[in-house]
Amino acid sequence: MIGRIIKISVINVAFGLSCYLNGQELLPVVLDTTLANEQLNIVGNAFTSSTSIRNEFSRKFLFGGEIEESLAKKVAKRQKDYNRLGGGYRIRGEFRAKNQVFKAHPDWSWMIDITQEAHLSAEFSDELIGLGFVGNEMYLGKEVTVAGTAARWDQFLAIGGGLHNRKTKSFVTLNLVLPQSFFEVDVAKGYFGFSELGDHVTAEIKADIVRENPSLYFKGVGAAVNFDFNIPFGSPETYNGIIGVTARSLGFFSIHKSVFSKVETQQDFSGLPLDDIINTEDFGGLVDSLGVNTYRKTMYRMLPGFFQIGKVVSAHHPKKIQSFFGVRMYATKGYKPLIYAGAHYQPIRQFSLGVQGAFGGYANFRLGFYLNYTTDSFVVSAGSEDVLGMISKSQYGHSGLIRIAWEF
Amino acid sequence: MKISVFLLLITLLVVGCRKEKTSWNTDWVVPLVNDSLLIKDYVSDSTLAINPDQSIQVVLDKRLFDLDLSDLVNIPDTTVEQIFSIQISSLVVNPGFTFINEIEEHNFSFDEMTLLEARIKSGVATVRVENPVATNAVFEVSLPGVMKNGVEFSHTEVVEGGTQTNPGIGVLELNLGGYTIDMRGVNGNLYNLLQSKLIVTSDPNGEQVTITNQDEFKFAVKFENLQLDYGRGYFGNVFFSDTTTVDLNEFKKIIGGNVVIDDLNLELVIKNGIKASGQANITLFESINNNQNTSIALDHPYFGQLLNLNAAQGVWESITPSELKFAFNNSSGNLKYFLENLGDEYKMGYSIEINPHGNSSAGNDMLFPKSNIGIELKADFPLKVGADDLILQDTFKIDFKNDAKLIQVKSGEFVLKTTNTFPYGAEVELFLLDENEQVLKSLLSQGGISPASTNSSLNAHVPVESELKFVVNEETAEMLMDTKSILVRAKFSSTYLNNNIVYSNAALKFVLLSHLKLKATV
Repeated sequence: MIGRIIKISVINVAFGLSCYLNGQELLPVVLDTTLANEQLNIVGNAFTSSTSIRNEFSRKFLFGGEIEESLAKKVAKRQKDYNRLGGGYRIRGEFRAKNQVFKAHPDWSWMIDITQEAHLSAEFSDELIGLGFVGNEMYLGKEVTVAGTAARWDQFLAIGGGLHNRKTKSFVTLNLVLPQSFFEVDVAKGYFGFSELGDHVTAEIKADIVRENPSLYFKGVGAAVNFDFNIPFGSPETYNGIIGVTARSLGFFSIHKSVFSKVETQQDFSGLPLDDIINTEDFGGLVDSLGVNTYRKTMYRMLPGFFQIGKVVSAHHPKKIQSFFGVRMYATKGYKPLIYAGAHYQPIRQFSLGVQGAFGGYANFRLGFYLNYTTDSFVVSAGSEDVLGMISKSQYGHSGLIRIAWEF
Repeated sequence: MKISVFLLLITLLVVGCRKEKTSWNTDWVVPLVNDSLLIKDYVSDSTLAINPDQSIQVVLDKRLFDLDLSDLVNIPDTTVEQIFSIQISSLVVNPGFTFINEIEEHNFSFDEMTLLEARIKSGVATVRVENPVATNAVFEVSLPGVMKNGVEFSHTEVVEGGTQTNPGIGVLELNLGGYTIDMRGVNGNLYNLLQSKLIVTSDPNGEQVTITNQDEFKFAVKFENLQLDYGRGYFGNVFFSDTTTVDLNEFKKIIGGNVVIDDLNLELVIKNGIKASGQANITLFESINNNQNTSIALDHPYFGQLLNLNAAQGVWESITPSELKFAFNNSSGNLKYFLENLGDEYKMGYSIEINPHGNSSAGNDMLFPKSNIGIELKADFPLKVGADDLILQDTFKIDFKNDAKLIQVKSGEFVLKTTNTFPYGAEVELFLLDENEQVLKSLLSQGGISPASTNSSLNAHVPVESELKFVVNEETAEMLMDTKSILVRAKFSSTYLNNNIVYSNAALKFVLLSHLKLKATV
């Protein structure tokens, strides 16, 4: 059991370190306003969170294994009328040069950044989980509603460049976005009715399904902006108060010639005539009869980026304890505005830690924690926005964050 | 130090991305097939009828085969070429001057047949004319005695001028469909003749031209694919003899058991729809059951005998074929055993001779559009069939698409719910077959379809409900991946061995439900 907890904890942290590697962008930035040399930064994060899916269930998808019938039934029973789920990872690397770009602005220099990101967001009814993971047997004699279900999966690569301020650490980059995979389903109308004996099924579905085109190389194109604007206030020597305005992957993209399926059907099904079973070798006609109309269409979507504004902490603050707080919003359906607040403790120059509480997003309340270790040329930070989720299977999410910076 | 950290990152990257598959099981109850077999559906197609006591009567009127009348009256493809020229050494022709006006007779070559009159059902005549003079010429082609709606066939074509070595050529394709041909020739006392008339006139708008007796105006006509739907004459002495085979593939599905058929009444009828006398002989009528390697030849006292077949009566729409009937019932011959053999193949040997005594009609044999010669099978008896472990089997292609791997059948059962008002019940067994049609697994039903019993008024059967279950355990479910077809074997037995009357409410309604545990893997 202890080994299992350790493993989960390590893997949670390793979200960031591994393919889920990402970073400190979602934890308070410890702002050092001294003039920076050339920097190589890798930041990453990975998370799952939900209002109703507990970790004992979601970990089956993260680490594999069989979902026992009892667990599936328990999870189905715990769902509310409206539920949310989110997950994903972001790995972002950036190089910040020290060369002066503008004569009039000696602190500004150029930088490049590259981001690999995947994001899942979903809203769903309780009965959808029951149907998907338990089956329809428990709904015999009942009606099941899946209306309002929406889910979207994005995976993309972004490459760009821009300017950064070597002193305030503000930056802005413009990025070319190359979508890698995309899936979206939106159910406007959806219910199933099952007779007591299971010999009669009624269904009314009105839904749109979009998938990326099957091309191996080109699936679309887009543009996004990343920026940090750190606006100091208070004492100029210490910048003991700094407002940070942050955006990542804020932009849009096109899904070139996406496979768009429009489902609009009203079915009253008691079984097929025997002749249809015997004589039909290709069931394409049956699919057509279900009211599925598929065609190609270029779609435009907002990227699942986020915007955040809040107070950040300073590396040279005279007090050992600082506060931070803010609000974050993702450009995805199902993500509610997330409010966070926390305390940062820096007992010595090389080391600091902090805790935070957050409410909103794809989940409800979550408790976060992080650690920073700094040398003259190296910074490593790790943390989680859901500490309890790292160790408890009864929680509703996971979070891992990492930042590694090398100054030379 | 820095290198170590990055090595640690890479190690965690590899370890962190490795994950075993996630799987879960779901229980689904879904209807698959819902259908019914109603005896009333067969009443509407004139095969069955309902008696006043609501019992079903078999009323069959089936044409076993038809003789192809084109074999009887066949006009072969024929080409006739003729050359016209003036009789004097030369002639100066003014515009619009007719210098050829000839009628020719074309003789069709028939072996023994002499046709006096015929109507073409379909066919074409392709006419080719050659103009050897320098100016255009107007060719008027007409066919005297070839009439349609009282109008003689005629066509005019302007053919460009040419030379003797390189004449102008005109080609006409004439559709002869619907035309009646008087084949008695110019004088009306011959036969097998078709007349053609060619009039050649110099171009009315052209110039004066000199024609010599060396200028040959060639005329060729090719008759192709002529089919008659009316003919009068002597059709000759024609003899047809064949053994025809009728396959009843549905009966091949019967692989065992017996039936008992009662109160039979059957009739075999040879029909002659042409106005020419003949003789007919049924040499063989055999039922062959290939599954059980049994064959029974039907007995009849007139089989094997040469019997006279009279000429049909009436003309055109009122033509009435003459009939030669062979009657069968329970008390005559071996019809009962012939039918109870449940043959999947039937052989009939016959011979028919037209005009066996020569031209006895004095050239007045006639055939009309509705004329034909054939053999019909007629039946009219109550449907009383007993079944004794009668085994039917059939194979259906199926693909469970388990190669998709996302969702697989883990276990469960198929449930067949029936409501039966036939006096027959059945036990059902399923066999899963691989791509080589080898049996992977057999699934015997738990329970069977019960036969229905008659009600107290003796005018219907009381519906009886049954439920059959086919259990699919995990071992069987794994075999579904390799299953490419399913063989269904049903063993039928009737309520009684004899006299199982089928009433008009006879029906088998069935719903096949699947109750399966599906394993999803991602």
